[in-house]
Amino acid sequence: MNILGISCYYHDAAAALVQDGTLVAAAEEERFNRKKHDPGFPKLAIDYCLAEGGITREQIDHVVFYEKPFVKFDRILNMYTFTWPHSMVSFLKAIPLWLKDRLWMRTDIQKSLEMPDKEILFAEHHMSHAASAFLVSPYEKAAILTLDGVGEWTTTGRGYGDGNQIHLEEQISFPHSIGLLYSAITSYLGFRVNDAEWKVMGLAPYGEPKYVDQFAELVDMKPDGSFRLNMKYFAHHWSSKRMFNRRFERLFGRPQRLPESELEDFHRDIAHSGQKIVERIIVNLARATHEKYGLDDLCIAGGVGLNSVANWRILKETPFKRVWIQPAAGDSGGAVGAAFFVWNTLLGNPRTYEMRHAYLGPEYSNDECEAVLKARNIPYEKHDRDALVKESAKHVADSKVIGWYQGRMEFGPRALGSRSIIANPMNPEMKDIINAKVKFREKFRPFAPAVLLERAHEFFEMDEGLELPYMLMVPKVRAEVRDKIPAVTHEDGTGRVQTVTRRDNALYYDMIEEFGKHSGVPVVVNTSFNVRGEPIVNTPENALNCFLKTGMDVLVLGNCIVDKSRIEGDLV
Amino acid sequence: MPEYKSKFMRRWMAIVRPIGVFQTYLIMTVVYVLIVPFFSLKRIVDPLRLRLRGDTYWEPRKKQEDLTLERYYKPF
Ligand SMILES: [Fe+2]
Repeated sequence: MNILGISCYYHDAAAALVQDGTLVAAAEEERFNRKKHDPGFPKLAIDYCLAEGGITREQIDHVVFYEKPFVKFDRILNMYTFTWPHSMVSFLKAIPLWLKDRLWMRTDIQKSLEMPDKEILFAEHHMSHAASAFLVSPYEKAAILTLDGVGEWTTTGRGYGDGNQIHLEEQISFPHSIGLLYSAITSYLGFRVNDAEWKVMGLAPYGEPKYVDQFAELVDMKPDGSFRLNMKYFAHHWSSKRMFNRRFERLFGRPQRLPESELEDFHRDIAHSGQKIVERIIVNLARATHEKYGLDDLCIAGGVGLNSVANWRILKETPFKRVWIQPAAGDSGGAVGAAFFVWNTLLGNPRTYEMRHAYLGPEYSNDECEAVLKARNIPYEKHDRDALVKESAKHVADSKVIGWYQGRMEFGPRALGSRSIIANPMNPEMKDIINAKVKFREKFRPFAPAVLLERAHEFFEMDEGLELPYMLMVPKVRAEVRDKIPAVTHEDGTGRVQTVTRRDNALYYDMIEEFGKHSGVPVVVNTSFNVRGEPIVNTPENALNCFLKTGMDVLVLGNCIVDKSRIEGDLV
Repeated sequence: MPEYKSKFMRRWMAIVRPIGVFQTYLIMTVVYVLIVPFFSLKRIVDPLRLRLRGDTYWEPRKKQEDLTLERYYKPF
């Protein structure tokens, strides 16, 4: 049986295909149409999923959308009605759009799929999130938290999963939302909402907790884990553009930072204090959830689940023994969750699939990679597997910046060794080098380490054998090795680890191992293969273009290695 | 639709489309200014939870008994 999950029309549109209970393909639309965070109907991602599953449209048994549009419309109507007259501009912008398009979503999806008679299923937004975490997790029974901006009405959900059933028992409703609070901080700091939340987390360690009292004024927390925002300070319940109001600015004593203007200590302190408050809400929530259900395991999804610092604190500071987080925790993962909700919960099939990696996107063969190089007259060297591993590791050791393009593309916001830029973590200059040559990111943003699973505990303060395959946790770098891997040690002495296993990514594993053999450090810098403002590369063509456009030194494209220094000047 | 592509139709649409857009906004503005306030007057209800009080901010979710495809074909 083929079930197609779709999420779109907010941001990060995506599609996923579940065949007889196995996730065979999942991808974000942005990777195909090259528009970052594209919210439109994920036509290309769907085409890809069907091709990967080897089926035609007619063979899709069920199509499921990740939320209930009418319930969302109810929330939007209420927002604008009950905040009259503030909401006028947003009302005039949103309502015609809803009346014209969004309310006809069923027809719209049918039309876009070119299947006018196909019935479309609609799962609830938070059920999709919950399913994307629990139903593909390793646990038979576990507590579930969905931590989000907002879905229809729900912003936060709590419950448990048991077998193929999900019991989401309680919720916190709009406008009280951790995700929207975080977006308010993001926006106040002059970063782009729904895009640059990472920056707040990256900036936080550089500041001091000077404003936690003010943030405490914004949030009220209860011992049972629930919370409420003090809506006197916010604007997201009446505006589609503004997250906070003037009173918010007065509380902190400064207006919103202008984008691209100088970052001052004040902004670092706000980031630090804001991150601290959000961690406090999340840890409180997790602790209370453990108390309520008494289960050892916890599943998390929803955009806030990408807050890796908070995630690590849940694991360290609450009685939960294990935590599994959907790597595509944001709305793109809703496509996966919705499809499994149908397969397991609605159709009653037992759970047989565990999501052990995120390599769910398109793959291009070595021949296809080579053809791209040939067509563009790029000089390259072709290697067998052994030589490819050795040669790549040698480039890492030589502190080259390497585009690493292998296997199936990752699903979710992180590059995990398929579409990655890798580099030497031992070189203290490496962060600046990568930034100057390729990424052009703000100085304060950290680069993450990819480390062999068996060796991870030697470098990071984590238990031996603990799998962190998705860069969703941030343990401390062990003090004694900190100066060995300066390029991946963040300001506060932590690292957003990816543990690598041979089981899930053999070539990547072998390359890191090879580098480790000579350096004693089986760790590489891993950052996503893209330039600032663009989605991660998908095709070999994308990878080559990105390589040529930037100062990257080496491109490992399938089994071919391209050395930039050997390319004639005018090609670059 | 070949007629639609005719010169006349294209010109005609160029004239009436802005009128249509203008009308949409006109009607919407009237609705917003005159009709929405009446609903907004019912401030006794608090759908936006602006006056949440009490020992907890959790709301129980209705247990979904009807776990069938038919139920989930509905967009609400
Ligand atoms: Fe969401």
